[in-house]
Amino acid sequence: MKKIKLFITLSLLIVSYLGFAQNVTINGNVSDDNSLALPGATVLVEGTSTGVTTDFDGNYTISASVGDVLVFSFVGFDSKSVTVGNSTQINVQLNSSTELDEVVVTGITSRDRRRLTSSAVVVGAELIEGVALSSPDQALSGRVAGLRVVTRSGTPGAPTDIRIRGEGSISGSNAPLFVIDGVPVNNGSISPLLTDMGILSMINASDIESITVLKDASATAPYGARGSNGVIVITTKTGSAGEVKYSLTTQYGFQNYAINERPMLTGEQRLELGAETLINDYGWSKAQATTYALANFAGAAAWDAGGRVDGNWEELVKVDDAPYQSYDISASGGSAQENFRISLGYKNTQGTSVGTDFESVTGTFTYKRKSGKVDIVTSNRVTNAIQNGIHEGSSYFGAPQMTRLFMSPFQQPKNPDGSWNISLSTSVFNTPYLAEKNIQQNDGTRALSNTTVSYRINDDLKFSTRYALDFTLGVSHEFRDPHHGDANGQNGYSYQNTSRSFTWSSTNTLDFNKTVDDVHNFSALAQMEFQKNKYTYNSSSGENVAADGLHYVNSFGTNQSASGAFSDWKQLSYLGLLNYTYLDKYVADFSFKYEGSSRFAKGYRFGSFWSAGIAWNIHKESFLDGNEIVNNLKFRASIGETGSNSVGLNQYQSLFGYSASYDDNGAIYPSSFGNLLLSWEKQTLYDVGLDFGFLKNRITGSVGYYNRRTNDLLQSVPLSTTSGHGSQTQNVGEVENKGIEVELNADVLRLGDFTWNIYGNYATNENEVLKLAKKADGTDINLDGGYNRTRVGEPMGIWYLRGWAGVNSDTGNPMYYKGGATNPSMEIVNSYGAALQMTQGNRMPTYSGGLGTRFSYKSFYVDANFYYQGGNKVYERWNWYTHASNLLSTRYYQGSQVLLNRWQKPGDVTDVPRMRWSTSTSGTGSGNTSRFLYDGDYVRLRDVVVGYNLPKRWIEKAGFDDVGLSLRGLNLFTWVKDDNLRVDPEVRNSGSWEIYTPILKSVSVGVNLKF
Amino acid sequence: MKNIYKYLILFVATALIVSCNEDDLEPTLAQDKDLGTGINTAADLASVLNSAYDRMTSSGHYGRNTIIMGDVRTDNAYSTMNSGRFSSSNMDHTAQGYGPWGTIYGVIAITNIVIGADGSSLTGSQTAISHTQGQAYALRALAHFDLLRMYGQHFITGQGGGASLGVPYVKTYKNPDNLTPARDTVLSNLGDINADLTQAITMMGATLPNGGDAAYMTKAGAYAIGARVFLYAGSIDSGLYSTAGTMAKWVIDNSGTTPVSAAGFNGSYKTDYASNAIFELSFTGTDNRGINGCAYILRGTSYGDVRILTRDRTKAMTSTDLLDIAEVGDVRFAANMIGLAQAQQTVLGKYPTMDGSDNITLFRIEEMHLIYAEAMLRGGDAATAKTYLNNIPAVRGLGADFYASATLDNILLERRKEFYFEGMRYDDLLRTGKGMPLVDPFKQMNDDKTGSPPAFGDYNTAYPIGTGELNANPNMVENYGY
Repeated sequence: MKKIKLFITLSLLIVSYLGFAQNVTINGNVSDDNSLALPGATVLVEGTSTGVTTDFDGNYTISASVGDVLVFSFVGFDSKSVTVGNSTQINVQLNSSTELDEVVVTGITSRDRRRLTSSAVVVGAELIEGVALSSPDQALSGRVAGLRVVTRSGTPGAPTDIRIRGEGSISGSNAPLFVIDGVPVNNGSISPLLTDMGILSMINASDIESITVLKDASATAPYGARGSNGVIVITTKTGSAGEVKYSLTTQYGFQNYAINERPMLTGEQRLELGAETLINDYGWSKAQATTYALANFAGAAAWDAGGRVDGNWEELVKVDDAPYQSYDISASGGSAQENFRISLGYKNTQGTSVGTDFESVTGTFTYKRKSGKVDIVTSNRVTNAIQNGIHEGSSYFGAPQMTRLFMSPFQQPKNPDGSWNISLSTSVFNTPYLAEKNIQQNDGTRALSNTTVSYRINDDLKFSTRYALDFTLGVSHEFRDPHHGDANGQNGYSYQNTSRSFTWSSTNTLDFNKTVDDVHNFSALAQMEFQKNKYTYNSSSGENVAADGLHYVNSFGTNQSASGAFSDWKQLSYLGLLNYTYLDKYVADFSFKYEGSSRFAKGYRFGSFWSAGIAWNIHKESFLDGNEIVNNLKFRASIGETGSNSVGLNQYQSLFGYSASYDDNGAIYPSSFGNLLLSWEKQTLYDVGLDFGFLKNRITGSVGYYNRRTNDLLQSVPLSTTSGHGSQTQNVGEVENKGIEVELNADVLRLGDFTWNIYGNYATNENEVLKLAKKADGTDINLDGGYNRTRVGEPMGIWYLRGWAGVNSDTGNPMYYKGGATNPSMEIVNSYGAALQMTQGNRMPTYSGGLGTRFSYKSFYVDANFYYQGGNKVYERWNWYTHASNLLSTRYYQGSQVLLNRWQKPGDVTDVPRMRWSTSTSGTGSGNTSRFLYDGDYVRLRDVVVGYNLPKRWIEKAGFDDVGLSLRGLNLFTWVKDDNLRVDPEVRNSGSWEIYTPILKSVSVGVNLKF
Repeated sequence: MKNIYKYLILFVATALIVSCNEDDLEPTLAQDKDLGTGINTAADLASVLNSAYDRMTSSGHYGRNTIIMGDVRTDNAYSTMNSGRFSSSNMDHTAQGYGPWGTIYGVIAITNIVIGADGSSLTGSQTAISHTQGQAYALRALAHFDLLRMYGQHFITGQGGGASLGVPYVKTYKNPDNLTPARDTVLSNLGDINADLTQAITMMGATLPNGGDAAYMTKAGAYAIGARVFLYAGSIDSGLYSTAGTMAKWVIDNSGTTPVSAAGFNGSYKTDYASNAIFELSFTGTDNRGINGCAYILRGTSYGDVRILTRDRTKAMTSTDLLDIAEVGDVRFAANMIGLAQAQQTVLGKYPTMDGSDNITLFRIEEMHLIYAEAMLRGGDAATAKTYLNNIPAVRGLGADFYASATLDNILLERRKEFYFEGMRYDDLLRTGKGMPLVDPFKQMNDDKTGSPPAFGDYNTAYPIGTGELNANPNMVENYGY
């Protein structure tokens, strides 16, 4: 009821209108310093909401009274005020700003960059469209110092993983917070199946105005609880004043694997190597061994009899030149009082793995209305996306990408009559057949609604209230063919899952801004936010299909089972911000946030987070006044404490779970060990930096140093499993990340119509574990795994593998280093069992960055952007099968062509051991060792675009304002430092290569029409 | 009223609408209950114990691995490497750890919650509560025995036999003073197992509150566990053979179970709660074992890795394989029991349903006859031993008096025939001081280090304790050789 009253009151305010008399009609023209017309410039009667925008030729008409002040403004230009006198014509020339008076949106505030004490990086719409094929965050790759984007899979719609300034949490999440139009949103994935669909893929890149990346203490601390991994602020497009303008953007392109990963053995090669196992181990003759292999190896006899034609599996699981297309149409227009933007987007992507595609449609509506002292903005978007996916992520026999690596070429995909061959004599499934029959679909609908009503109480004080909804409905369906594959034994399988996530947030903000005596500027903000999420899912499955062609659970009558659950979380926070600027020279910034989360026990729910920052605009000092070289020089520093609550729901409680059953009776089990002291993970972060602009801002950039210490880690501390529990979540441990970040942008040449620009960034990251949980005897609980370990004094999750010492050239047998957890011995030993694990290098890159260049000549331009990273090692996990010098690669599964370099006779110097009659990976040299650990350094041509905007005189007659053509290539070229790394170096944050659709490259043509 | 006040009021009003305090941050507990207040009735207690049974059915334990590893390391079975499961590398453990350590301690934790519950404070039948707690004692004993036979050092050369390292015997859930327990000795473990079984037998009544089916532990089940444990432990302390005999005889006399007939043998694997069943783990279709059950691993086209280890009949025999010991007329080797899957010899009859919905019988009366026979033989009563040994072939289509005499070899041979692919072979070989026979080096391929399967006393006949456990528990000691 209260809410309704509030709404009515505010609605009444909106319609209130104050009129005045004695109007004169004034018209004129607005131009830039080169006397070129400025279309879209704003002309406002100061102190009122009356305003217009200039038309295409820069002309305007406005009603005003004599004595009124007209304010002319345009982005990138200094505003100008003119008092209305007797003249009814006022022509104005605006001067382009000499300073970077860019407004930076931080999600909570919009602030002039000069008044920021942090280094927010803004990526504009032109860099997002066309690059972000699957998910808008993909566009950030190489654009922001210290930010790494990893695409999990080349399957369309797959989620991405982002890390900003390394990883600080051992067990908790290291993913940044995503904020859309001021509201924190979910950034997970819909993943009840063996294929994931990222829910950010349901934000249409064409609707994004800009993405701001917040990294520093003073920028992230206002996000308190969830800010410790950085914040990515997405601002969506809104309407613009003026006539209704239409824009149509289309893109059509083709995708292929970026890297042709791991060429595999042909049938002949396989036979030769397979026979060699018998020659080497049993002294057989080549003829005898070959005969045995042909007779005994699955499928070999038929392959031999059929003329030795290899099964063309690789071609069948791959889709060459997979097309993608996107169409976006939008309309926007309005006046200074109200404007709107509507858009409709459609995207359709075929995957490069057989049977995959992604289709989405998005509609948005944004409306802004100013009326008197009230501003209303509402922004609404709904997307439906459908992803047809595949099994991926591990060596599932039903995964097409597994077929590529594991299927014997002796096996034939089709029968002589052209039908699919589903009686293979191997355990690997005929996945091209399954791609035709099986269904593995995620169908997601996401609706975001964001409405803000603000009231300007007086010139200095504004109150606003915002209500935002984020709704995600995930409908997943899987059907497994009864005749072949995973459900062959059950005569078909069907699974359906519906999940619903709903988050509402309510935010109330008081915003104060006052300049005193023209020198002191105060801005302050008080905000209260409550967010609540509820999540439910229910799923059902059944076996034994009634008849072919039926796909839903209803028709699968055997062993039907169902499950469902509910969970929720809540977050409440109070925020205070204070910014003081003296003459735009000295800036001081404070924030305090008091935030509570339902994930912790009562009494430990609330945490306090704060930051303090200063900035000094040195170029405003008299000694630099009018300096020809230095236009902009700012020193900034900030320090603060942020937090993370990335811990499973209800982890603090010691609980009984009820989801088990025995003998079809309910079973109650202890589900979590519990820790009533559980509270926030905290992070202390400080930054210092220098922003600069030289030579009329032809050279701009920044350098900075950051240090973030994550402490009281939400760590899943291993327990002795004799307790019946594997771990307990505790607040222990400390991890430090530090490094430098450099951003640079230089207009190298400006010769008339020709400009050449170079831009780039570079960031380092040094990660060190400072503290871990301790055992009762005071020693650290080291987190040692089979591949990685985390110990104090080392980077988190450093590679921890046995050391590979190559192949003994006399015997052809593998050799290892004796190794050891500390002070590893480099003595050579001859068996895997005698070798001990030792540290082998970083899992996460120690440096990364981007480098780009742009040429433009008149309306023609070329832009190329490279991404690079390194200092890390990449582990090719599945080499233990594909590089096994034994029967795994030659008889049971399939081997890489690398095996052709195997040792054959004494004296051979090679890295591939001799072929053995064995199935042991550790015994024949392909166990987990540094043999498959490669340098991860690479440079990738992330994005190259050639564009041309048609001359105005050609298109005006046809009624167009703007026609742009572009040819774009993504990931066209990749340089990899380590020649032996035969897979894409862009691996997930685990550092291990896994079985996914490879990362893609693409070429596309785009057409942009504005009319 | 000035606007500013009006809007300040609005601000306060809105703030009130959504105003919250710490209590509003209380999360919903929809699926779980707080552990401290979750057990209130006899039925709650029984439901908690159900989860101990449920954990025993996991694929990592009796649902598959514990059973398969009891045969795949021996002369009965091998891995075809169809999907890389139970590979020869599984004999070549690394210090990373292996086996169901955590799963079994998970079972133990649940039994300790049940045992630790104050029965008198719960509503419901005190008899039922006592029976449930008795079951928990029996399961706790079985769980520790399973750990002992997998991780104990008693058979490893030079480790001290009965005085060697056993496993931590955990008796209290979340005991803050014992969260990182040290390993007890093997003999100490055996003493604790005995104590638990005694307690179980005392607490369990004759009437069965769970409807009487063998899917739950009973007094007879506790005796059967004891018979198996002490037969095994006889190899460590020969005085325990007679205890095994006594307990086996109690089961034979009092359990009401009888060996299945020759005609009923195959069917007994398809039927839940056949006449010979003392204790079985319940598996139902809705458990959805899928590819992770015993049936799949034995016969699945994909993810089906384990087959009968047959020797190369063109070469001289080094050891008998399972087909070598089949006698004409023995129903256990009939075409409905052993046959071909994907052109390889495998077991068809013992886990008949591919989706893994057959119950798995852990204790059946036939074992008690053979345990009693062995105990009698070792105690010097060869005549009684012969009687009980011949009780089994007599109901397998081989006629009365099949064996002319009761020898240890005959008893082991009969056990191999009766219990192949039921997970007993490995322990039978080790407890009688035998290594793993080499049947076919082309198939066994566990020659990575020595060129032959592990001999008796080799360090790798016991599983390694995992690095995770060693890192978390300063009192834990790794097994010899790892």
